Amino acid sequence: MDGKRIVTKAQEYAESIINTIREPLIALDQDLRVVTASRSFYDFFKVNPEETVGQLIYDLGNKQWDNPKLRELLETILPQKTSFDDYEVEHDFAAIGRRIMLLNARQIERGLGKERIILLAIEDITERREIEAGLEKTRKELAIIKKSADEASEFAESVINTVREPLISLDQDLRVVTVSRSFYEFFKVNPEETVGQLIYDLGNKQWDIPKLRELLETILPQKATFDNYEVEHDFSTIGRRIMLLNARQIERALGKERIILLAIEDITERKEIEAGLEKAHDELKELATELQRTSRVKSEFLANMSHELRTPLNAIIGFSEVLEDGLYGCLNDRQKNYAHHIFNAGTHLLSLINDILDLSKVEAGKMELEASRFPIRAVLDSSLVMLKEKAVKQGIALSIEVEPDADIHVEADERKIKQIVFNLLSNAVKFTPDEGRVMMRARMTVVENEGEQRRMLEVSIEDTGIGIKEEDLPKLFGEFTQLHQSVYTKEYAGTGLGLALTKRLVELHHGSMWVKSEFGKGSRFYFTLPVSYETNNMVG
Amino acid sequence: MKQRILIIEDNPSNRLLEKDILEFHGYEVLEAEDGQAGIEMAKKYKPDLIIMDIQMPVMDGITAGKIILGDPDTKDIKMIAVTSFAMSGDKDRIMAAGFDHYIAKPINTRELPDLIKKLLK
Repeated sequence: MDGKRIVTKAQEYAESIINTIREPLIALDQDLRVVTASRSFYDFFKVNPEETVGQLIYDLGNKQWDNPKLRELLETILPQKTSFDDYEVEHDFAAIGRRIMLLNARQIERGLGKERIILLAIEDITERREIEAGLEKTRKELAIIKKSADEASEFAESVINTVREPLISLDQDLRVVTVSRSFYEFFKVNPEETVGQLIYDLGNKQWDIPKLRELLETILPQKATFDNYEVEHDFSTIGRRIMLLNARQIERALGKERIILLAIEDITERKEIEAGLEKAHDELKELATELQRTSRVKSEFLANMSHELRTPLNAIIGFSEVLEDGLYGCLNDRQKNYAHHIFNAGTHLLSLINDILDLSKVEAGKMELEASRFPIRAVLDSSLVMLKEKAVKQGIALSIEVEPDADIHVEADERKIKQIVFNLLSNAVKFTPDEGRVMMRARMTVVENEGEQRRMLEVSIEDTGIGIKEEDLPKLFGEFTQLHQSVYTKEYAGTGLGLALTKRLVELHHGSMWVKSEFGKGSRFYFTLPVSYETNNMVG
Repeated sequence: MKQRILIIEDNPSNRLLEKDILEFHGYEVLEAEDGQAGIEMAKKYKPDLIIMDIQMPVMDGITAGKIILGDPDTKDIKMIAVTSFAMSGDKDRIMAAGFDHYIAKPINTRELPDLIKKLLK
């Protein structure tokens, strides 16, 4: 084999190596013109052999290789050092964009000649750099994460120490990891005898509670969280306590290690309060029962009293009436007068009893209305007739004036309406001096109640009587109030229950009652009645 | 023949009062002190009318009234109840028991004879 062939062979071999390696490789002559370029060079830099070989390296690819750092390497460093490794160059190529490259250069003597060539290997480390940068970024992020994890765990610990509820964290073996300050305070233990200990061994094994074992060993592994698990235990240090346990099994921050958070809520006092409430409730119930019993006893008493009082009154009133009527022989006038007094006293006593009973019934809510429809005019007239004789005797002018639209039927308890009208009218006659005047009027009126307008019947009874002092008006409808002790003179005797009862009866019909009066001149009593108290009842 | 009235009433004064009034008005009057005795008297003497007090010891008037009105021998006797109107519902119970009338104590000595006359005509 001749020398030339050997050289050619070697050259071919070198070129095949050049073309095999993935790294772009270029060979330059001493004038820095391209002698050879590897296939990977062409591929990488997207250039073709025609515009490459024989060109000054700086002119390659439209002068995009004219890079100051490359010039420095090739013209200054390499002539002195003959080889250079990992010379980093960053350049923005028109064809392939910004690249970071490591240049490795060798200045060698070629084959047999004395001609020197420069081998330039170009390693594109752009992506590696990106990966490295990514790695760095990741590392930084990890550092941040670790920092925040540390902060989080610090935060968690400060939370643990801040909450009032005793809190304890346990590792998987149920040994104490962290304990809140409140835990130490509450259970009167210190950190030295607590952290690292098995929970059951805490405070001289006083935490060895069967229900706690059940919670931690059986329930929690299955459910991971548990709320309001009630445990009652007698602690040697702090006595019997009722606690609500709330447990969470969590994974701790970065590690895979699991811990159990156990919050302990002491509900002993709450339970005591609840028990107290229950007791109070029971006592209230007892009291209510007692009240009901008392109310029943009162009703029974009133019923009995009514019977017991009416029975002798029946004899008193009845016999005096029989005597007065002379059924079995006439009495003389004086005796007849006595019998009449006995009869009047008995009747007065009877009306007193009736008023007391009625008032008690109203107050006990037991007064029942027997509603019917009747003309109001008839009730007003009949009361007038009943008092006519007495009025005439005293020379009192008794009159009635019913406006046409008020001459209607009302739905009410007729007997009680009669009671109301008669009571007011007899009061008026009673308190009006001789030769006075009593006037009863009825008219329709509109009453506004809670924004609702309602047509009502208004009855008023006006007298020219003694009147009522302004300061006495508020007392007028009270029970057992008789205003006429001194001012109103003794001749006007009454039970003191009449007006109180009358007002209650009006209100029972969903009406209202009031009075206007001028002392010494007279009074005017008013009451209203719904046309139908049933429908009124429904609205109310 | 005189019409016969049975007074069933535990209070002697009231019994006397009713008896004297009714005798004055021409009736034959029989007396019983309680419901049980009243039932026996009613069966034995078949009065035309009974004045029955409601509140009585031994047997109350409503119970006695029901027994009398439930007995074929005495079911047609007119019945007046005398009540003190104390308990709410008394009136309903009285009318439901089948009484012809009820009056409240104290009785009106002038109205009672008229009422009886009306019931017995």
